[in-house]
Amino acid sequence: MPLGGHCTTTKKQTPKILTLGRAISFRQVRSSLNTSLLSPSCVSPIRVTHEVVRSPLEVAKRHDPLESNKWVLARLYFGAEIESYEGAVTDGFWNEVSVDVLVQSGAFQLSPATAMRVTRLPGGLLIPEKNVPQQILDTSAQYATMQELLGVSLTVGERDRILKRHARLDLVAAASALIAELYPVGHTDEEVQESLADRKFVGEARDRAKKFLELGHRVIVSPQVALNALKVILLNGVEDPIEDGRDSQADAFILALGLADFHGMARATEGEDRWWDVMPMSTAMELTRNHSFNSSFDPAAIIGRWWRMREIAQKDFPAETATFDDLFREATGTSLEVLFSVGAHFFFQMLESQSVAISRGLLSQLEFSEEELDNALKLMSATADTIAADLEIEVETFGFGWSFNTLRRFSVI
Amino acid sequence: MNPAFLLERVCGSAQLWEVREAINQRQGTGEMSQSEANKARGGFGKYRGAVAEKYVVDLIKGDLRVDPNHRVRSWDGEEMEGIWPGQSICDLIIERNRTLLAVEVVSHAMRETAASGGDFEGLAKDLQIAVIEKAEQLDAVISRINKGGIQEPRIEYEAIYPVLVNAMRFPWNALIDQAIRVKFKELGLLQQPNVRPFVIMSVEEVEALAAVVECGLATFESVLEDRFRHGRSGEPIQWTVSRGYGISRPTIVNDAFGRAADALIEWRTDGG
Repeated sequence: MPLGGHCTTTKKQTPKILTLGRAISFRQVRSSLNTSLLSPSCVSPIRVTHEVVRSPLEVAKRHDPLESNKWVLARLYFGAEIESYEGAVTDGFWNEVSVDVLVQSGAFQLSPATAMRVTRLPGGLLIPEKNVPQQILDTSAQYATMQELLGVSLTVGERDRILKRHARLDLVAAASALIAELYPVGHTDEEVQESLADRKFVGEARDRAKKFLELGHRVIVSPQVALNALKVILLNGVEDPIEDGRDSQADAFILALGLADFHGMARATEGEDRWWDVMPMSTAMELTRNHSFNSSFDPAAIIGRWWRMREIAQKDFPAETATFDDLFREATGTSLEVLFSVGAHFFFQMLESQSVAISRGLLSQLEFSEEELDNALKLMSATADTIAADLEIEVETFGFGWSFNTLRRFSVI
Repeated sequence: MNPAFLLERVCGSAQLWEVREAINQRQGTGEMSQSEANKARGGFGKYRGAVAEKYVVDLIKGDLRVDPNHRVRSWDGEEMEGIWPGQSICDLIIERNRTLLAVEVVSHAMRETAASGGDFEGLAKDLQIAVIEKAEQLDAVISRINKGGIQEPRIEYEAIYPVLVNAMRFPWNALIDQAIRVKFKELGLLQQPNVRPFVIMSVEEVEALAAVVECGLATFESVLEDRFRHGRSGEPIQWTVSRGYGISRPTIVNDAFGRAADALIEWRTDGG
């Protein structure tokens, strides 16, 4: 049976780019949730303050408040508070939201449904009497191998057959979608794992995947392995597939699973040089390379940090900032603000459309000149051929491993 | 292709690498002499470092108020220069009762080859600049404080926490902690009896800790003391914070994100 037969996915399924609940401000939550939420009975109607939010992408306008908790979380995400409504507890909606909100806001696993006991600190902070450990750093996860899950390994021949079945850009899009799916709350998150296990595997493979999940293992590859699949596709993919109609998302997943078996944890070999006489050099490098992937990805924090630093630069170091801005403009033909705006709009567009394919036309909605926008775009994008050529050099220089400079440099095709 | 890389690029790495590359190119074409290029690179590095330092110091100081009974006092770099002119200083000191937090911020970007590739030599050089030299600086400040205090009233500190914040991310983990301990012992750095284990934090980790502090759950020092007492000093701060507190972002960052979102709306011709 071909490898693809073990694995399934719906072609039209689009990736969830990130979970909005991650970005919730504690203070906003604290100010928006009233005490009734945490009363002993925990059945009181919920009433929270309302402030109309205008998200850059109008996420909020498109959804009915009772339709999806994402809508509410989107409002929180963009800095506003939850709309007032009552009775939501009864339809179960609020329970979901509150759990998410409270977990993300630091109040741990606290919900009206479970009525966990809490203590209120003098400052108003609600602390559960029993803490529940949150997500542990991703490195602690154990991954099931492709061999364990599907009973086969990905041979070079099979890898090449997969690559030839699809146009390169189709596979790139599929691998990108997988990466985007792995980045929400964290790719080791149980919900993400469960959801992907359900959608990516069928039959016995799904049973095995579920079993591994029950044992606390992870069955879905980490983002860095999916990135390596992307590299393989860019380097070895074909323009004209010899066989069409196959599921490119399933095949991209198979490629990633297969690659995961090749890239285990670095192991010291006998006689290997040791870094400062303590750790094997390969382990040091492995940790260094992996670290940036294993740290949390919090888009609001990345954006907020950048913005705050820019404010500090302009306020406290105006002359140096002007010099720096001139140099940047001279070097790139655009400004930091335009670059940020273009990147952020692409990012939020992914969020809104839940797609990794973004239209260039989106940029015409921005008030900057075409030239500045184009130059900003050049700083983050390139053609697939250009990226593949740079990747080849990178792979030749550093080996295939965990080197992703090119993909960092060009994150958009 | 990758949402994380996209934001990383537009909110950071593009500025760094494009400007560096522009300076290199000017030097290459003879438009800048080597000394001019070095000066430009140095100025650029100092500028980035100064901005990062201010950001981190603001995060750590948070709502800290100096209390009239001297139970909490703090000194930033400028104030320390006034006390110890011409001598080694760090970026922030916070004294709380009989504990002292000594913070140094470094903005040295690990070269791309070291961070992502296989350049071990490059990694070692980066660590010398980003860790050893900064630890020497902290060691000098702490030794001076242990000997003569900072300002009256002089305090005998029970615990001093040396913290290095790397604004450009640093892979801190148990193995690197172990390696650094061995190296520091060999060099005699930060070995004073009242000095707690040296720790390197990323800006992200400082943000996470600042969020915990802001909520009144702990202080920077108490988190570090907990780690020390439980033998977890080598763990990434992220583990400590997520295991014990689960709060991820301070108000400074949230508010700035709100302002960034407002600007994104303003920049749209259709009004957002």
